[in-house]
Amino acid sequence: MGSGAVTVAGVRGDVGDAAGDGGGDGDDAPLVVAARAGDRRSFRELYLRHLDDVYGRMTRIVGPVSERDDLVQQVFIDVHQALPRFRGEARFSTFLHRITINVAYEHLRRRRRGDDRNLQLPDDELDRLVAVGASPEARAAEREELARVFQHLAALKPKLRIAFVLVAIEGMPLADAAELVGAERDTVKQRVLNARRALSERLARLDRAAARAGGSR
Amino acid sequence: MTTEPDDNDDVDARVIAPLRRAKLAVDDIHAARMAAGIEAGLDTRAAARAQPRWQLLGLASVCALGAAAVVAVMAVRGDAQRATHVPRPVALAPYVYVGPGAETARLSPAARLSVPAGAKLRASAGTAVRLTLVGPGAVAASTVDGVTELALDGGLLLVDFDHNADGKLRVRAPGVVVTVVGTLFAVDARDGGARVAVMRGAIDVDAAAGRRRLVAGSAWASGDGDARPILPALAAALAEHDASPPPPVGDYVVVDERALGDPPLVARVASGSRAARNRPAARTVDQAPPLAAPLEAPAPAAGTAPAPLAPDSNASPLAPGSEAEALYAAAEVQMRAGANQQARATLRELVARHGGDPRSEAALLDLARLSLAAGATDDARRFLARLPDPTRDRALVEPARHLRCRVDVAAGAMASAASCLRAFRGQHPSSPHDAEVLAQLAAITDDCARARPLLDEYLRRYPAGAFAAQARERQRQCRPSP
Repeated sequence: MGSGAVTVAGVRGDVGDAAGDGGGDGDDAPLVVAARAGDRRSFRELYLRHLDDVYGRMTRIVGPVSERDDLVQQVFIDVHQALPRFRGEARFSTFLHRITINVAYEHLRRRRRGDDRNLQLPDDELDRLVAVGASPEARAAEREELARVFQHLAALKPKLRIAFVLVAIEGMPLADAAELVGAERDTVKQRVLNARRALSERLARLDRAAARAGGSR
Repeated sequence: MTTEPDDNDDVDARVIAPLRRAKLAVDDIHAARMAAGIEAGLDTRAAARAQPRWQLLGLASVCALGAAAVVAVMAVRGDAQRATHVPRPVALAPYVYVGPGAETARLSPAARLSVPAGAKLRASAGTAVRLTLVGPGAVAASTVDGVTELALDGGLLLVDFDHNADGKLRVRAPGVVVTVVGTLFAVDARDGGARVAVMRGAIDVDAAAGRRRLVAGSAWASGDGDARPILPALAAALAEHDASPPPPVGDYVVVDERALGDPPLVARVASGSRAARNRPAARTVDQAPPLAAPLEAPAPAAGTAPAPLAPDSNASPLAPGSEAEALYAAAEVQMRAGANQQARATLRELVARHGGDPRSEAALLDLARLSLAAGATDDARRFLARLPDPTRDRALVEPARHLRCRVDVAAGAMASAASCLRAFRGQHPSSPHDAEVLAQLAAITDDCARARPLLDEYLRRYPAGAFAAQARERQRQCRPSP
């Protein structure tokens, strides 16, 4: 079977509010106007309203790395800086998440230039991602699973990783993802397909290596 | 290479599904902490934008911006290519830490590093800057137009700037602008104002009274006109900083532990390089002078000398505020490690010993949250009862009010909960918790006539919210009979 078997459909709509609209842009508008005029309280309200979405998206894209909080802060500082240029042609959440994607992309690009083979994921950061109430053993297993997931994602090139997270994991429609990353819809679709293929190959390779290791014992 | 459907299933099951299950919400304290970082970043940018006018209007106007001392360093040539007039975070790479929580401290690069009272942190920024930060304090790094800026937010900063590197060094602090080219110097922002001391090289200090040149061995304080000799303790600290091993390369591990006082402090240093293996970096740090003394000697005569500059040998090594900060930092480490019982003890100690400290509010809130998570709603109520409303810390007002309502709901005090939730919505109409609060309010409102508008509002505002399915079902049940 060819690459057409790799689907990007079937995941849309599973994750609600993927664009991170929170309370809706209609509610954001007065806050944006006030924040643009220098009202820090309004900007703080915008921050509180959209923090979970930005934090979640940043975590999915860059992983629960130690720099993640700094990157989230950087997003909001950049947004504040760019507010005078925001004229409301797009939704505020789109504007915000474009900046989120840019900051995440720059981070991944810089990291990739360095040594990306040893992605450091602090246990406590992983632990925060695990559901509360599980047994210690279950939590440990979930932590390990998530660590593997982020290692897999780290093996993807930044643009593939971002497209994969937005479309395959968050369930964002291709058109919306294309708008966010500033690319054509078909380009984003191809990136998601390439990411899926790369992940499939990586998983298969790891399974073969594990089987060989098991067989040699 | 082809991709079979099974491969897709594999990716779905082993990559997509676990990440979709991950819990990605930010807790209130975490959100408040990041908000503080953003506020600081915005202040730094505002100060940077105001610089030209600031120089025209004089230094007094900038003093009002706060106690942050800004050290500007030309460095990081790669970042110069991305110059955009917009500060970008720069990684500070810590490689030695001595202080509370060293056993679990993460020495990973970050744009902002903070240390509690009694702690010392050594880090590098690019190849041109090596610094030692003595807590309590924090330092953040960013670049603007190829200039790396270190923003000092409290603490004592010892800096070694490589004069062979490109660029020059600027120091901005309340009341002063310092310009240097390659030197060993210190900036102190511990007692308000700014103090500068030079061990090697020379610096130009611009202040309200004009420009003055400081040469090696001299010190100066804002609000004071005359240069003075550096105190021997500080000179020794600068010399020790200068002689310390270079930043090592490799993973970070604990290589040395030693008691440094009560509570015991341990050192965590980086290892992996020849420098770290061959030279006992931690020992060098441990043997450094206590650095509790001010930067310059007392004024020779009464008159213009600022009073707080005289060394006080009887002073506690930890000021009350600093100790509260250290305790809170320790509690944070314990909470993140899941050691909630120890965290509770530390937070209780903080509240008992430093009830007037602003951190005691955060401690009470944490204690209430921990109690609620453990199902001890009475304890949670007791802690919340000790919190003023509104809290003095503005960042905690909304989380504290929300927690009060959650405790009422958990305790089954529905009348009180309904009143609390309604008041919360009035006070915080744009709260990030609004969906949850609205859902709770609708859920505990038994009367259909009163529940209907709440359900309608919930579905209108949060059609994909977690409560949406239940809200629709309840809406159906509450539909008036034909």
